[in-house]
Amino acid sequence: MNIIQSFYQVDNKTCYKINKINDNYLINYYSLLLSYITLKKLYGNVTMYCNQYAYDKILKHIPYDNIIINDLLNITTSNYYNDWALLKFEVYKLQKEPFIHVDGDVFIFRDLLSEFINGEYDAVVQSVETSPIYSKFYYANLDKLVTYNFIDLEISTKTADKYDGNIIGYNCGVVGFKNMDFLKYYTKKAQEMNMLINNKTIDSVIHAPMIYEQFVLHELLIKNNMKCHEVLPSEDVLGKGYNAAGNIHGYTHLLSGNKYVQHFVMLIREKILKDYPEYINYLNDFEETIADADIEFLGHSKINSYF
Amino acid sequence: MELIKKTILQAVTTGTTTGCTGSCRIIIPNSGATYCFKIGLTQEAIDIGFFDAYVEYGGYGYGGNDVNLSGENIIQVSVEPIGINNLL
Repeated sequence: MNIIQSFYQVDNKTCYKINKINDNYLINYYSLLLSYITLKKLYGNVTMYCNQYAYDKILKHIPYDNIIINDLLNITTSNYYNDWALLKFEVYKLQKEPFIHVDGDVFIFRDLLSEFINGEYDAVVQSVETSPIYSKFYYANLDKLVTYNFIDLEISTKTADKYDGNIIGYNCGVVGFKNMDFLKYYTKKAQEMNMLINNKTIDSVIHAPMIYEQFVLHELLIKNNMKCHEVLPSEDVLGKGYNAAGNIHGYTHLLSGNKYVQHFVMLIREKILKDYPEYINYLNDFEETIADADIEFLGHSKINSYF
Repeated sequence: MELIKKTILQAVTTGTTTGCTGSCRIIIPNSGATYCFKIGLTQEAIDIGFFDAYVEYGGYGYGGNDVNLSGENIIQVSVEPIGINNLL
């Protein structure tokens, strides 16, 4: 099965907001390299979809088995913060056969994907995701979600009962499809949702990518009775917490601005040097290119609780 | 902007005086005392999910930490990562 990743760099944009311009986007290299290494070790072949700028600045220093460069024009600086996740859908549209997409800040240390690869599933995701953002959005737009065929009200309500009445999404740190007809349908509906958000037909949207990527995927899967494998079982995620579930199963997803946190980046670097020394030259070559870069690592408000 | 008011006890010391027999002491204000107190500056931020709460550049770190001596302001991420122990 095709293991694919994607990384498109637009100017110097990162996934967090900051009131200054710097070169922090270059720090993505460390998580991208470890993500590639762990996938390569387990699954042998990794294809990266990117734009030329991302390749020139970062990705040429990682030995992907295949690189597909595609300069997309529909994601610009002005709409980046809401639309960056749409880039994944452009990559999905290029897929002709079953695949698994793994985010560049996800590290898989044990074989967690063979269950989906060898099993009878329509799709695979990282895990359920609980957030008040989903419920707030759902109840504020219930009539439109029915009108535009994003949900089946009865199924949706029954499913929420399983999660104490909470509306959930599916985190797409890992997402894959064997049912390519469903993928086509999901891609179309995700882009439709983005359009409805942008033209204000649908509102109460705090974070658009969570809605059009993760909420829509979950609702369409249950609405269409698709069989979905969760890499991190919901009983572990909801019972023990996300971080603990990842620790138990050998799965890391940095999420959000964590990929720019100094402590985490140093851990990644040390992990590569210690456990994957065959990649040291790639790391050294990249670090030579950023010797004069304007980089400002982030901190983490609860760093002491992790170590 | 918030106005912070706190009442603190005045530092006192003993001083000498005359007009008594033996060793006489009086309580006087300690004009040389250094008053030290720690102010924790926190910005309330609501974690709204993926775009985590952050301190605007130019703010201070979370959790009552002192501003570091250089006055450097560091943006703090608050979203919990998944499976961080796998990096150890």
